[in-house]
Amino acid sequence: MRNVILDCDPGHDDAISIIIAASDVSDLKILGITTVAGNVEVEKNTVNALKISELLDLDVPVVQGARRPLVKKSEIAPEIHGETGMDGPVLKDPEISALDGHAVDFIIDQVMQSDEAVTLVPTGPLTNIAMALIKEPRIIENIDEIVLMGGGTFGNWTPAAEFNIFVDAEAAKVVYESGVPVTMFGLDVTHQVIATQDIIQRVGNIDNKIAEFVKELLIFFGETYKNHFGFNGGPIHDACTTMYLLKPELFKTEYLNVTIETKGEYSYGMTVVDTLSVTGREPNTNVALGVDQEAFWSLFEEILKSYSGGSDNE
Amino acid sequence: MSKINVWIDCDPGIDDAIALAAAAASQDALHIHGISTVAGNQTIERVTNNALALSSFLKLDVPVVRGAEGPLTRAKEDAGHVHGETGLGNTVLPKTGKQAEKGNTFQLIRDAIMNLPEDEKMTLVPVGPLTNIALLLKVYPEVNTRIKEIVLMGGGTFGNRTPTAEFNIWGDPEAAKIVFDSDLPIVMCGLDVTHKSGLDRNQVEAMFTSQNEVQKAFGDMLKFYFDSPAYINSDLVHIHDAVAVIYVTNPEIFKGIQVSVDVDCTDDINRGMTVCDLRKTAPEAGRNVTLLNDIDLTAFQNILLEKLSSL
Repeated sequence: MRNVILDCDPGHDDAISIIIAASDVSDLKILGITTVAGNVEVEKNTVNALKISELLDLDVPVVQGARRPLVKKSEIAPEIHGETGMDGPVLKDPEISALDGHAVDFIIDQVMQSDEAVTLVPTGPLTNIAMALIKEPRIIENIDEIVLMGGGTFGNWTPAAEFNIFVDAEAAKVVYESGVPVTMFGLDVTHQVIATQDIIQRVGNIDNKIAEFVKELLIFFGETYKNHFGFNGGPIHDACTTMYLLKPELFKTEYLNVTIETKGEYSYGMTVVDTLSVTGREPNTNVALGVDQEAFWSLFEEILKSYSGGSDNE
Repeated sequence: MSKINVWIDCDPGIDDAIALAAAAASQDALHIHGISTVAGNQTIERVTNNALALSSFLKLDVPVVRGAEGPLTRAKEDAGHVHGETGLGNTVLPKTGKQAEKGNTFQLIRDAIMNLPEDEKMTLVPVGPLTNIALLLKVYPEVNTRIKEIVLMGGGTFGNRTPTAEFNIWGDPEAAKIVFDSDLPIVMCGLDVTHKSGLDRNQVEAMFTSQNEVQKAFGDMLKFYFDSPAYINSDLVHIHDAVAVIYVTNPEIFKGIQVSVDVDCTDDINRGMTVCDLRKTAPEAGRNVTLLNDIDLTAFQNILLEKLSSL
C-alpha cells in the first residue's frame, strides 16, 4: 500500500486519475486531494474535486490550495475543460465541503506525520508542491517520489511548453531541483493514450455510473481536443500518473536530466530533456516516453468494471 | 531541363567534405556557382584552406570565397573534437595552389545571384553556422527576390550541442534568426532527418579500403567519425551536411512538414534552439520552413555511394 496525495486541478483527465486511484483495483491509500489553480480557477477545481469525491463515495479530505502561480499571473484553459472546468457530465452540487486550511499546510502535515513515505501526485501546475518544499524542506526526507503530469520534449500550450509547466515554470523549477526523485509523464507519453471513439465505446459498454461519468468526460474532452488541437480524441494525460502507480511496467521510462526553462524567449516553461546526454548534467528525472497501449486500455477497462460490484450499483 | 543554380556555404568539416563531394558528382543536375566558407567546425583559416584543397581534389572548378571569421555577436567555439584538428579527421589532402577569390565576399555572392539570367534563381545551401547568409540578406536585400530557397543543414526538434540546440544554429543563433525570419522558403535538414540518414560500417569500410584515391580519402574521413566516442556503438554514421545536397538533387526521397520556426536567442539553456510549432492547429501564417523529418535510408545510401563512386 502506497500513501499518495493527489494534487490536481480537475479537470477531465484529473477526474479520471482520481477514479483510477480510488478504485478497488488500486492499492493506493489516498491521504487527501489538494487543489490548485490550473485548468480553471482554484475554487472551481475544488468544487469539482468535491463532486468527484461524492460520486465515488470517497472519504478523503479535499483541501484547497494556491490561487495563482508563484511569480507570473494566472493562466487558465476553459477552452479545453469548459467554464466549470469539468464540462460535459452534470453532477449535483456537492453536500460535502473542503477541509479548512490551505493545501500547502495539509501536504506538509501529512508528509511530516506519516510513518511511511508519501508519494506526491501532481497533475496540475506545481505551485502547491513548490510552496510546500519551500515552506518545510524537511518533507523531502519523507517523500519517496513525485509522480507528475507535465512537460515533454515538445509543447501544447506553446510550441515548446506543456500547459501545467507553462502555467508555473518557476514552481516546476523548484520541484525538479529539489532532489526528490521525479517521474514525469509529459506529452511524449500522454499523447499515446488518446481516448478515441473506439475507446469511448469500450467505456460505454461498461454498465455502471462511474463508467457512464467517464464516458461523458471523454466525449466532451474529445470534442475540445478535436476543435483546439486537431486530435482524434482527448489524451487522458493525468491518468498516466495513477496508472503508473498501479502498474509501472505499462510504461517505458528513461532516467535523464531535465532542466526547466524560465527565461527562454519562445520556450518559457519548457522541460529541457537531455535525451542524448550532451550536457554532462546528472540525470534527475525518470522520463516516461512509451506505453503499452493495449495493456493500458485493458487495465483502464478493468478499473472501470470494478465499480460495477456492490449493491449501490445504479 | 535546366540545371539548379546553387551556392554552397560551408565550414569543412568532414560532413561538409562529403557534401562537397556529392555536389561535385552532381554537376549534371547542379550548376555550382561558388563556395563560401564560414567559421564553425574550425577557424576560418582552416575551413577555407580545406575548402580550397577539397575543390582542387574534387576538380570542382568554382570560386571559393572566404566568409565570416566568427558569429555575429557571440564568441567563437569550434568542434575540433568532432572533426579532428585539421577539420577533416586525420586525412591530409594534396596541397593546392588554388587561392580564395580576392574582393568583397558578400559582393561576390550577391553578384553571382544577381547576374543569373532573369528567369532563374539561386538555391543557397548553407551547411555551417548561418553568419554569411544573414550578412548577405542584410547587406544586399535585393537578393531576396532572386533566391529560390535556402536548403540548410541545422536545427531540428532536438539538439546535439545542447539538449535543444543543434551545433550550427547554436554557433550563431542571431544569424539563424535573421535567416528564419526572412520569410524566404527554407528547407531545414535538421537532426530529425540527418539522424535517420548515413552510411553503415560495411559501406564505409568499402570506401577506406578502396584503391581509388578519392574513395579512400573520404572513407578515411568517415572512419574517423566511426572511431570517435559518439559513434562507437552506432551502426550508422550520420553525414549531416551531405543530406542537404542530396535533398537538392533528390527531394523525392524525403518527407517533411510545413512549420513556423522561432530561434531562441536568449542567453540561457535553450539558446540556439529552433522552436518548431508542430501543433496541428498552429496558424498557417509564418510556416515558411519545411521541416524534413524522414528519409528513405536505402535510397539515400545508394544515391550517395553512386555519386561518390563516380568521382
